[in-house]
Amino acid sequence: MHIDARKLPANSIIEGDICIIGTGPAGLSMAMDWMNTPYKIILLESGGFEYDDKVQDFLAGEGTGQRYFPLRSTRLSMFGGTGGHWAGMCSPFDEIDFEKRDWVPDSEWPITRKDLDPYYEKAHQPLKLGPYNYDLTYWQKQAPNLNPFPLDEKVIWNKIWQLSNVAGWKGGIKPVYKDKIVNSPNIHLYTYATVVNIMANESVNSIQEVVVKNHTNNTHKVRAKHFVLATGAIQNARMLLAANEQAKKGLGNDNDLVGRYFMEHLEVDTAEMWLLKPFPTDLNIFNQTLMFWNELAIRKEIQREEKILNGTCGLQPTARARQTSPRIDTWQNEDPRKSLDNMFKSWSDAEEKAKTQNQGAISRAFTFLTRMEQSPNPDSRVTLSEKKDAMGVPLANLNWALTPLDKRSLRRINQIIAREVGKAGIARIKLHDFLVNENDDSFPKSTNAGWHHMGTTRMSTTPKKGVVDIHCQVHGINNLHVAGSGCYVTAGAPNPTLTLVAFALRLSDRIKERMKLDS
Amino acid sequence: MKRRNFVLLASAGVVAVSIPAVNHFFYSIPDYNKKLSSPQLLSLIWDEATILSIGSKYREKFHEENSERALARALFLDPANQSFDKLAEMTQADFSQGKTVIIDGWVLSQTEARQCALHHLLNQKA
Repeated sequence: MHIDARKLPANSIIEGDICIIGTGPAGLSMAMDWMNTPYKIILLESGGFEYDDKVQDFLAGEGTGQRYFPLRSTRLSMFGGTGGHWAGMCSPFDEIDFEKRDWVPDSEWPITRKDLDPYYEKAHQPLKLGPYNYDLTYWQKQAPNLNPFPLDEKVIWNKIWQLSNVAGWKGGIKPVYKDKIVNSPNIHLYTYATVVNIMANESVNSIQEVVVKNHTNNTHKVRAKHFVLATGAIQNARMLLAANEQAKKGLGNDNDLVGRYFMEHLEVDTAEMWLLKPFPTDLNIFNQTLMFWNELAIRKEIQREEKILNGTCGLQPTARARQTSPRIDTWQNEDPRKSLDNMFKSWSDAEEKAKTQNQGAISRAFTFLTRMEQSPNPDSRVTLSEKKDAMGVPLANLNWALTPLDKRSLRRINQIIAREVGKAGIARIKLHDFLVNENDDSFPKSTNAGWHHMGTTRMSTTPKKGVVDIHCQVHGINNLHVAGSGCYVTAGAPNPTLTLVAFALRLSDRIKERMKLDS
Repeated sequence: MKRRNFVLLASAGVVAVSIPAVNHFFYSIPDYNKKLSSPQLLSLIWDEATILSIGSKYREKFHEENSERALARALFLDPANQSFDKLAEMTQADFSQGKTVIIDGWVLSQTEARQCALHHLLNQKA
């Protein structure tokens, strides 16, 4: 069922069992999981089915610290959420991502990879992925010529990715799920319903309602037994911090942790690998037929030995990579549509230039795009700005802060692979200039990230160490939950979407149990 | 001859005989095939100018090796090293043992980096 909240009479009261705020991959996956149940699900979307510049304004924000993309254009405020410009790359976190690593401060998760395994498999359905299988040997049976480089398997392994059929470039989530949601009798989708406040009971241990507005200036209230914040790590933190009428520091923020530990994935061109001889393989290309991709990864034993973060290296032809502007330069327009156009134009210009220059040895050269977690850092955080949006909600300010461990790990991952390809006698590697000086901990302005917002409402067993508990419920508030990558304790090496959908489905199961117990 | 004088004379004789041997052992340039200074594997990905440039940078970075004697001794003191196959073997062993250097961003084995330096030095002389 679909209701345009602009058409509601002023001061409407909307009631349901579960209120899910946000229709991105987390919110929609949860909503789909409740379809055809006896429960009434209120699904709130700030925007409509199409892009709306006025609604997108609510996502504007400010930035300090390491140079970042404009907050307004890194996310999308419309049905399908930021999934609308998602590249669709999926791979599960590794076991080591959940382990406490002494050399990575604040890295201890209260759950293990095994807790998430069943939900990873389930998450393949809403994301329309292939079989839940990430073994190279399985994929080698699906197509010829998926030959790995002959590297020492005790040091390097091949991390398989799958590409989602609901990625932005495949049309996105909207066309696949819009009709299903709209035609569902128990899912009540409200578009143009921007949450501007969250109201708790007197003792601030239970949420009573959320306040919803839009540009008509009418205000409505949504009441439910459980509320799920699924608006992305920046927006979730912003909403909790801005809900400060009853809790001065914001909801769930008694220990000043909401918004802290913001994490991104570094996605940086770091080195060139020049193959000494041609090595025929289709393993490392973006395979749009198999919807498959592979990257070189570092074994966990080596990560422990070297005391480095987890990361992988993807390969792109150097002739093209040398012509490609860093994404952080091409994606600086506040309008996500213009930024997208700029980025695609830059890619196509680079492709064109590369055609004339891809002669000789450079045709066997590949640039590493190193994709790496950043270490959890309390100073990397989302706070509230003094400026407010049109609804009177303070804007988010992002202070993206990286650490010397991030830089050392980025350098070391590439040095390790350089050593291994040398050992194997297949290639030589040239590090990019910013990685050469071992004493330099800084990151250049061209440092890219993946628009992967994580960690602002981190998971912990106690409220002193995090915002949500092991079930993604906000500590101390018994019916407020967070779905999404904001709950991550560490960022892992892979893109966050598969894991955040797994978390959302796990949370969904938890709320179902709670509903059964309550009834 | 007094016993003391005999000892002194005998010692001087030993020193006189040893100096050329010591000199030969520590200071001479071993005989080697000059063609071996060209790094075969790197020539698969670099042109001559790049090899020379890397060689020049190695010599600047490692002053103590900035002579034909030092480089040739490091590479060819063992006569068994005098073949491209053996140098390739040494190169791979360097990577296994972490004997790598970074020159102009390139992560190179010490052996091949020395070859570049020697190649630069020989070609500069020529």
